[in-house]
Amino acid sequence: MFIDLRTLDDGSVLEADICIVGAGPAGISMARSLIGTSIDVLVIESGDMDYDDATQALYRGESVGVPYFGLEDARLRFFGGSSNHWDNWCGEFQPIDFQQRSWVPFSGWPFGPEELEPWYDLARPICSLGPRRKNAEIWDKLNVEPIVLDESRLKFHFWEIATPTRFGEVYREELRKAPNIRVLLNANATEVVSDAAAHKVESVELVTFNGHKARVKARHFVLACGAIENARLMLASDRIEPHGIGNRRDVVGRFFMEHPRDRIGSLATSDPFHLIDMFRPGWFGEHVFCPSITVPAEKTKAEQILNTRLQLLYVTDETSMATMRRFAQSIEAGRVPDRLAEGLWDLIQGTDITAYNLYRRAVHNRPMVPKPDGVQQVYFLCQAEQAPNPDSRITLSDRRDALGSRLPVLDWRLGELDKRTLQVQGKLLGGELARLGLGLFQFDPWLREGGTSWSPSMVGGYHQMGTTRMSDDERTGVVDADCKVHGLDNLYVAGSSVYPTGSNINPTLTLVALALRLCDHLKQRITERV
Amino acid sequence: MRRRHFLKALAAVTAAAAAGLPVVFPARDPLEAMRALGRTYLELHPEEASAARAWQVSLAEAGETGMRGHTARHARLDLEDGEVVTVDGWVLPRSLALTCSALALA
Ligand SMILES: Cc1cc2nc3c(=O)[nH]c(=O)nc-3n(C[C@H](O)[C@H](O)[C@H](O)COP(=O)(O)OP(=O)(O)OC[C@H]3O[C@@H](n4cnc5c(N)ncnc54)[C@H](O)[C@@H]3O)c2cc1C
Repeated sequence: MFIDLRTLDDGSVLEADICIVGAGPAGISMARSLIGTSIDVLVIESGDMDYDDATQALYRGESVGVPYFGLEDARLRFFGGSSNHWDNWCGEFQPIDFQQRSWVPFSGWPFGPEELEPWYDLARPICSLGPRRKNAEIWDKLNVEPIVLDESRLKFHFWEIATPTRFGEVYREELRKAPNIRVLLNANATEVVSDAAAHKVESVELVTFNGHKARVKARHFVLACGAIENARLMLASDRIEPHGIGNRRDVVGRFFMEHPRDRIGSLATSDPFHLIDMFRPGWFGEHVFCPSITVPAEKTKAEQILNTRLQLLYVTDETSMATMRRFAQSIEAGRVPDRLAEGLWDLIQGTDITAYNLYRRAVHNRPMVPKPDGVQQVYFLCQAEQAPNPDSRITLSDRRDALGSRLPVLDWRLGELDKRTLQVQGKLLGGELARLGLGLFQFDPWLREGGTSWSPSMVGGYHQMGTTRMSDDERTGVVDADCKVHGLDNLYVAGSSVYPTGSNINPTLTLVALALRLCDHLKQRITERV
Repeated sequence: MRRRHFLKALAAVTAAAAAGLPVVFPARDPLEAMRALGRTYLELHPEEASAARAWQVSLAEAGETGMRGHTARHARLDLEDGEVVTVDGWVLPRSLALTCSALALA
């Protein structure tokens, strides 16, 4: 059932067994997995069913560190959360990501990959992914002969991509019909209030834009507002604990991580086409797989580097491929393509490649490729693991949003290990490509010898992580292995804010898996009444 | 070997290096490009100066005809062993960097 908080009486008190704050992929996955149980669930969502400027503005904030997207542009604040515009590029974390690595300070999850595997199995269909596949099977289905990398140095790892699952649309009806689930819309959580001893959460305070206030009382509370807001809400909840709820050890908001993304260098080669063809994302049934290059675990250990991935991209001056894609999208959407005459001219100019692409698509089910003589450059883009860094953090500003909550301040910081990893991995890549006779690799200036700064064009992946990290030790973590906040009996966190390290793969599949695991834990606690 | 001959022979090595790697080396004068790379390599890695000098001797010993094969063979071995260095951002087999350095020192 959906309820608009603005229609309830001011001062309402709502009760539930579990209160989940935030209806993005984490919150919605949890609510779904509680459907049909005897557990009474209340989901609190700041937004409505659609985008709204005023609510989105609550996501504003300041950024004082490495340049980052505007905080209000980096997430979406309505039912479904950022899945309303995510790209659905997914993948599972690799075993090395869970390990305590002596050369990566603060690394190590409280459990290994085997703990998460059954939850990944359940999370995959929720994110519209098929079953787990082996690389050989993928290459075979993509109809591509991969280059033979020396697997002691580099290996392939695939992104798994599906048509984006808009959680708020796809799972809306199920939640509407579920008798034990209530979703409260236009309900902004502004404070999490504990008992005087700060051992147990008693309520979450809500406000609306029309000035209504409400309170939720529940046996268990889960914060699932995304990595920036989870930390913001905990820091802002300072009524009992002066530095914020669950923040006795000053860890909340620290260890903010992203996946730095930027060009690392380009390849001088006489045969760009071969590599472009091999690195294009290709279809495997309904799914798309995109190859990338990572470093095997043993080699990351030998080189003392992080776990980063590289993707091959190219620059072309030829426009017929983009035009074909644009035409296909318009036709699929039942529209006449814009700039029709100009587009047709492009296609006629590039008749040979257009015909070749149609043939590839029809006969070999292979993705489009650019005209070889139009390719100006082949380059590699990183999606990097970032080393956990306590100084990379979210704090609160003295400025407030329209509802009176203090704005978040992001101080994103990167370190020496982050950069050295790219230099080592680029060198491994360059060596392999030369060994295979595929070309000579040249680093972009910012990664060359003596280059000290970060590239000005570096961005993140819209993958905020780490701000309420998981650790058995409360000095280095906000939540324990069950995602329960240290020191508080009934406060949990769901989402990528609990990641102790962030791997190099997009975060959502893993956070859905963790959310399902958390749900299982809560079901047990509630049925066993512990 | 006289310096003039050495330089001439190295010019052939340049072609061999470029032939070994299907690369469009981005310079009009490959010899000058190699010399420049060699200079940069030695600036960045002064500890390689003695290796470059020893390399110069072994190239000279290989003689005009053997020089090509010598560099190409070692470059291949380097790549097999992952012995690569970065010079001006280029990731090169170390032997190629040493050949460039030898040229810069000549
Ligand atoms: C452009 C873009 C592309 C992306 N592409 C990918 C991709 O390809 N692959 C991938 O894995 N990830 C991708 N992501 C990241 C992905 O969207 C997030 O990892 C995912 O949405 C996080 O889910 P979540 O439920 O933890 O948080 P969110 O999706 O952020 O949801 C949080 C929810 O909480 C609500 N909320 C926030 N604060 C409050 C409050 N105080 N009170 C009540 N409710 C509140 C919000 O309205 C929102 O609905 C992308 C993100 C963006 C922005």
